[in-house]
Amino acid sequence: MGYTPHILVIGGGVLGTGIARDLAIRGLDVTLVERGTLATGATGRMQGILYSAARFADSPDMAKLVHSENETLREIAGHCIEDTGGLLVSHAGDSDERFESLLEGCAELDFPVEELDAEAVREREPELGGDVERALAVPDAVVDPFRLTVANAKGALEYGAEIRSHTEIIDVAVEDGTIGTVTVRRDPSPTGKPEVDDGRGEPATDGGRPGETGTRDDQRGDTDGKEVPGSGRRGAHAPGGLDTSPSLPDDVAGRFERMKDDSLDEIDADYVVNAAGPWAGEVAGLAGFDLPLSFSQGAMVVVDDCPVDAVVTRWREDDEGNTVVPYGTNALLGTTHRDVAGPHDVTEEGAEVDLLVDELSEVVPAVWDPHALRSYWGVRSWPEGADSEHGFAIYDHGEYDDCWGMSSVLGGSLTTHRAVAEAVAGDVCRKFGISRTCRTAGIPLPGSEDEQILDDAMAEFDVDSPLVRRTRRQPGQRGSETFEAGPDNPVVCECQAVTRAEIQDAMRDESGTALDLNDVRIRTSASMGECQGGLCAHRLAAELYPTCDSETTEATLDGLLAERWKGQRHTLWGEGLQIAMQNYALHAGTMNRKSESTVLLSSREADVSTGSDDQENEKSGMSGKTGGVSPSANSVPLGLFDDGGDRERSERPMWGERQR
Amino acid sequence: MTDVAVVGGGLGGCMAALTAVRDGAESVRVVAPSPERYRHETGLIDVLGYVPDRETPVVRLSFEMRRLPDDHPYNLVGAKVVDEALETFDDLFVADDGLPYERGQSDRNALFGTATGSVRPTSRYPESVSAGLLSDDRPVRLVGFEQLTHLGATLVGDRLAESVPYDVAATSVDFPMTPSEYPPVVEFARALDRNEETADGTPIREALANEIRPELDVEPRVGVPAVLGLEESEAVRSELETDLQAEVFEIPIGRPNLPGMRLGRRLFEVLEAEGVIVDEGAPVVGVETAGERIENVSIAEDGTETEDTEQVRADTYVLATGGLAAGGIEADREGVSERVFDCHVPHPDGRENWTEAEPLGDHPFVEFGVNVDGELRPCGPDGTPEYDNLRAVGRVIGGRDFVAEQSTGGVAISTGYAAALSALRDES
Ligand SMILES: Cc1cc2nc3c(=O)[nH]c(=O)nc-3n(C[C@H](O)[C@H](O)[C@H](O)COP(=O)(O)OP(=O)(O)OC[C@H]3O[C@@H](n4cnc5c(N)ncnc54)[C@H](O)[C@@H]3O)c2cc1C
Ligand SMILES: Cc1cc2nc3c(=O)[nH]c(=O)nc-3n(C[C@H](O)[C@H](O)[C@H](O)COP(=O)(O)OP(=O)(O)OC[C@H]3O[C@@H](n4cnc5c(N)ncnc54)[C@H](O)[C@@H]3O)c2cc1C
Repeated sequence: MGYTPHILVIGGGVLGTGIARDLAIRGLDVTLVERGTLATGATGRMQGILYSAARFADSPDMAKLVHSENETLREIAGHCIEDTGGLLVSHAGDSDERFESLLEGCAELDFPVEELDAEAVREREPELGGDVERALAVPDAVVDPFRLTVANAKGALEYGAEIRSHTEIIDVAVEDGTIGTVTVRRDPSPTGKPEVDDGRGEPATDGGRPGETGTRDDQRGDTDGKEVPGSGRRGAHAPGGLDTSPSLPDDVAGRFERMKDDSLDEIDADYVVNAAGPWAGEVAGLAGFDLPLSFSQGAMVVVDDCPVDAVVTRWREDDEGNTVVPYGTNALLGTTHRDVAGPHDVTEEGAEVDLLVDELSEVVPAVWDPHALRSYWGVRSWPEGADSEHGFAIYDHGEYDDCWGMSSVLGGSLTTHRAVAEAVAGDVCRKFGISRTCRTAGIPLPGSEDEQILDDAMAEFDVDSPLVRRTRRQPGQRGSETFEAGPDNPVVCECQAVTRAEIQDAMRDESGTALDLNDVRIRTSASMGECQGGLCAHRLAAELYPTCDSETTEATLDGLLAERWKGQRHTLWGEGLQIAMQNYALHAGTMNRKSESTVLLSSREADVSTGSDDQENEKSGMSGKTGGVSPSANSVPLGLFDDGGDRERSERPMWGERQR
Repeated sequence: MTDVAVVGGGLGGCMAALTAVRDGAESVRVVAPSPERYRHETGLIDVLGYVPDRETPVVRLSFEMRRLPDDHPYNLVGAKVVDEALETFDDLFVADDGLPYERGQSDRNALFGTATGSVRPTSRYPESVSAGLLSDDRPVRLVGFEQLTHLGATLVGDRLAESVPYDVAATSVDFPMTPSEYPPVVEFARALDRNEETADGTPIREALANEIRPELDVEPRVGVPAVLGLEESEAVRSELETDLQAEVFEIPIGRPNLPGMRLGRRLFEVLEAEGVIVDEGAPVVGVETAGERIENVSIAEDGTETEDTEQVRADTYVLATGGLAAGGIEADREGVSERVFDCHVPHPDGRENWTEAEPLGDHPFVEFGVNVDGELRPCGPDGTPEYDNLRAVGRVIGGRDFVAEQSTGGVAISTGYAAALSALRDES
């Protein structure tokens, strides 16, 4: 056959990685780019249900698709799924019609469901509210979107694909009705961690060096192992690029300018698949195209207890706030549907949190008691005019925009992603006259046999799942190191029992540089417990020192506290608000982190004479006239303050006197 | 029949009870459900650290107090009463060797380093921290303990070194015992109290000095995380000082805070010595009122009302239950309330208006608490007292960010003192 088309896949969510894997298995050359880490988009902010077909019984086509995908994923990705089962429950007063049509639909389609009366329901789920009248037991399951995405990516790697995270598409050139060069920018310090010159000074990814507009082949040649996941993070380069020159014209001269920035790189692929999820419209926009997408935002609340064993969904017309998903010791309440204009239009509001708690405490009264740990929001996208939010479409820009070389994928769901990927990959192959069948349904995802492979891939791609925490940090995994608390390994975060060794392990990445605290949090779950980081955030920060300087340590502590605050801010009442107040008192009061830091000047530096009260208090805000010492608005002469009065003070001891 | 019943056993409640008993009340009772609360306290008594629009700490207390707004608790009770109250507090400790407190130059703020290396003003402080005064220009050595992550000594030392005009050095050593729990704060303190023997038979105080000694250069003072004993803290510290030939001071850390726990113990000792009845561990579960007066409150060990729930009947009551952090003020998703007497708590409508976007922003929730009149009586929305015989003291009073102002201790002491006086005046 000779010629192997090179396909560029944009987006490292569950779908993009699924497409990359499919194409790679079919033998095509594949490069996937993701601007953040894998699963940072809709995939990392969803509700985690592997849907059962019963949920779609009123639209037979979707139901059949979901039915087969639910079974397929259980076969190839069982290690990313927890088979909790699901209950679709109906309360007294809920529409009988909807429940009946659910039953009928399932019967017609021959789906295995089991109807339960109130008593049988309560036997299975004793915590369900008193109003439950009947339920349908369905094969819902809980899926870990982070592990599934990484498993896809690892599967793609195994078949020769290249996965580049922290690499953002910033331009898609169109030349003569054809997609031309795609420009990407690598994030040189993807987590905002301090710049470290590791002396290598060389971009580790590929041949995209200044002024070098290498062809695809020599780029590929340079990488030599495509298996350099997240390799964008290794080289240390000055950040910058387009942000500093936003008005660059998109012409040759402008492109040339940009190529001087060595965080930029060009990719000339034979075909581009835009799988940027809710951001697909923006990516298409880079080529000048519009996409017909609709969007909605959905809120989810993580609570501190797990009152159910199965995914419990209240089955009624209104599907706002209807599901409780069990996640180990936590439960996830979800979700809401608010139409929004796009992924940047999300507004996080306490009202949605209230709605979830109100609605779901009718279903599972116990969700009222535990305190809400945090809330987060995700954005769904689907083809405009589709029957459901789960519909999908392949939008061929050749067809709609008269431009050969790119298709955008609209919509889909995590449950159906493999089938969507199959359709997309088949479509791409047809374009090149390749007729290879899809094999993704028959090949188990990496880690199915030996889960260590997936654990390692999670570490390799720097993704941690909030569900299966600290998998990469099991004792013994790295040398003989153990993370158990012990005489030499104190606990830093008591709520989550995270030890110093774990923190230090999480601080290391491939290049041995320090990370920011948010990464440490995501990797270890430190600061994610009941105290919301109040008791440990500053202690985590201290562990970064002296690897990071004190300014960086402070800044990253501020960053961590800000992140934790963002998550809890909409769930503050009851015990949550009490803890927030205690944290405020500790950080603003005990630690005095709210006011500007004070610098003390010695008496020599600040000529202090005891004047009137007014003068003295003025002096406490004095600045620069004291010469020499870094004077600033927050320096104060030390001599103005209490010197201990007539307290006795010991003399400076003689050197040597102390040594026995 | 009790003259004065105080609900809540924090600093404000203790001051109210003590003042009442000293000022002639025949029987005073304190309902103190949770002495554990002192674990949150640093033991430092802040009177006024910051005033609006100035970034540097207040120097002279009396001067700045006068410039606070009229409805500030200090102005409600008046400068003279504030002075008397602080003096009463000081007198509790100076004459006593159980828990010495310092007031240094009592009208000037003192400055100390925090467990994150910031500089922080305070007014009254236990002797165990006093050698750490930053407004004393001798060099310092901080020594952290490897097993205790609450104080990253090198980070704190380096941050402090950026803020003071003298040398601050820092190191970490092993605390000479293996913890069996985390955080090991109380465990370390107990071992030092009892001067337990370490594995090689050395008494632990001596073993600790042996760990620290090689780290010392010429510094005349050494700071360690606040773990130096709970009951025998003075003995522990003075033995270390003799051994090390240096002054030793403690740095208050996050929870649990031993200096705060020592303060709590000391206050309860004083109360009991003066004949105040203290009910520990039983919260108020019910209140009976008649017209404008509170008739009695009932208390129950396990927090639920039963037939044999005990009733406390008093002439006058002091509400000293603390703010949101202590549970005196509580919130549900709709609103905010005062827990025991259901006094009015002003708050913005809509939970989204309770917080700001910045973690340490000027959050309205920080100011949740009751409004009080000039006699410290909690008032309803119309500004009239909720009850004739109820006064509020300390953090349960709202309307101001006492945390950022660094005035919580002083406000508790002053209002506790003033409320007792005003209540006795009324009843007589
Ligand atoms: C609230 C909510 C709940 C849901 N619940 C469920 C459920 O329970 N079950 C289920 O099956 N499905 C559920 N879904 C749907 C499912 O999560 C999504 O369909 C799926 O995750 C979408 O994956 P994706 O790969 O298409 O998009 P994404 O995961 O968003 O991936 C797109 C990626 O593209 C990247 N990107 C964007 N722009 C660029 C650029 N310029 N350059 C490089 N990369 C770029 C983004 O960073 C992102 O990682 C839910 C969705 C939401 C929002
Ligand atoms: C199924 C599921 C279950 C969950 N269960 C729990 C739970 O039990 N407990 C709990 O507390 N939380 C849980 N979560 C929430 C989850 O861990 C996150 O906390 C949540 O997604 C909120 O995100 P965040 O805002 O905290 O950002 P995070 O997702 O925590 O972090 C943001 C990430 O995005 C990266 N990033 C930020 N900006 C960019 C950019 N411009 N480009 C590229 N990358 C960027 C950051 O480096 C970081 O990795 C769950 C989430 C899911 C999907």
